[in-house]
Amino acid sequence: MSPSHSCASLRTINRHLRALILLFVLTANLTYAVPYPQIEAEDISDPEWRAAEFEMWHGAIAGVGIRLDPERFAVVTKTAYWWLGRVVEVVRMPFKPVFRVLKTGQQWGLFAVVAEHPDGLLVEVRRDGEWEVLYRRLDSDHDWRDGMLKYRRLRGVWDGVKDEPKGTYKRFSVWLAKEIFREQPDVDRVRVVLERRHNVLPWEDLDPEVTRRAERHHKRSNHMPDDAP
Amino acid sequence: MSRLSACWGRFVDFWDEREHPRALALVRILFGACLVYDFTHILWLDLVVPLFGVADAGGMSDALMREKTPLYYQIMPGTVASAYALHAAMLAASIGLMIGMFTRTSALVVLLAWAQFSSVLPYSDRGIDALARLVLVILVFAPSGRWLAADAWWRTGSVWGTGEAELAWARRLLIAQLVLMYFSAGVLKVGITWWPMGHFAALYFALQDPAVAAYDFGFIRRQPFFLLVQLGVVVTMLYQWTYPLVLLLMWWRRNPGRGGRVAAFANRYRLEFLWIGTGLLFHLILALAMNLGIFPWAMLALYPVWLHPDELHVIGRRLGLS
Repeated sequence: MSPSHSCASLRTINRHLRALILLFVLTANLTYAVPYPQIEAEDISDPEWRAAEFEMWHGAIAGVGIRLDPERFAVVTKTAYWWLGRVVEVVRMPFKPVFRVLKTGQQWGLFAVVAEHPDGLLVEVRRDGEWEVLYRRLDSDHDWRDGMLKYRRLRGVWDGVKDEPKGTYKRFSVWLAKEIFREQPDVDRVRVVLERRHNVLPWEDLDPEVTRRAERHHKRSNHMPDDAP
Repeated sequence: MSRLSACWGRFVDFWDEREHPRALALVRILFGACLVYDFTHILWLDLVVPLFGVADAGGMSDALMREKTPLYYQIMPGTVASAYALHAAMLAASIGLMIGMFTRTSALVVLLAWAQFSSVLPYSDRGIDALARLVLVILVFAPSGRWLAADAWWRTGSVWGTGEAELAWARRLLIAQLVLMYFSAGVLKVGITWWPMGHFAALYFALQDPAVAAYDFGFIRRQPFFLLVQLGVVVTMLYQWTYPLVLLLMWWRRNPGRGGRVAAFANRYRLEFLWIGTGLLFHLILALAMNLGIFPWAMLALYPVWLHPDELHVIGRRLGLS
């Protein structure tokens, strides 16, 4: 075989190998893009599991004239969800280690579900026995370190969609209290709170109620023992 | 069989095509700049230890308390210095990526360090971080340092490189990534407020979430603002659900004469820019109205891939840059 011939063969192998690798890459990413809901086998028979969602979709289907038994509709859909999940898991298996190591995926639920009861961060401090607001988001009179507290990575640490605060919320509130105690020597107590509001549609009456939740109290003496008198 | 073989042949040829690397290099520079900004911002806000450090060192991570400690903290001690070292590695490698110095190695270092950072404090990792790591995987293998890069200067004596055509697969994969992301973002919008039953009120509610809204948008309860916001939801859903059409439009442009009159019309008016332009506008509005950090800018940093390098050359000449 002449050198030019073997060079051409190598080039051909190279071209095919590249296309094969790219086909593998495309397949891997497509399998990770297939959406499926997280559902356990026991959820299929649980009438509470996403009940509101099924009710809404059942209503929408009925609206276009298709009549289905609501319970049967929910069970059949949940069974389909469960099977879809199992199939997707099997198909993804060969690519899983790469996605796990790189901590990535192809599910892009950008604002997939928008909160109608959002939480706002509130920080209160006690000075000379009087409580005052140090920080409340979007309140220009109380904007202590707003640039830092609104930073997306820090927001991710406390802002969640579930009723229970995230696991990192407690450590976040401890860190925040220490920052305040360090910076403001006259503060002896810090309260970190999530204020939950109910946003309503324009034609509905405003809901003025603000629920304080996930309150965390911090004493200077607990976090800064060296500062104790 | 011969049909399958012909199909495979076309697939091989498609991924073997070459083009000037300027579009890819522009992505590297703009995207790298976003990363440099983001990591510098962490330093500026004095958040290196809180975000990268473990609880014992003053951080918010429970990395050393978990059953499976992240690899980084298996190797490094849980100290303040380790937190700074991980951050420094990400920042230095991002600068390297942006200026095209040891481009592929820099991309690999940012990628691996970022994945570790994500393990250390998973809640601080947002969608754009996951997308950035996918882009970095492509840049690890792509010839993005062959133009306007320190690497090009070392190799050829000029930052502009030799001008030789390079493989086009990386730009095409980035296009596929953008299409997949927008389409997936549409399909996964399952919240009722994205749909007619929820009065297309998703953006209305999002803009009133104090955690993400950049300003107090209480005024959008009034008309015509509410209507405009509803229109925003409809446009968002329409353009994201139909985003894969961009691939069809690009295929028609690549194969003139195919697709009949519709394709001819689409080619003549470059209809794919309806979707690309809507995305651009969408990101600019998000950048102004919401507090999402680098998300809109990092997305826009990928947009040079929509233009063929020759088109970028023409634009550059018209702007007097060439």
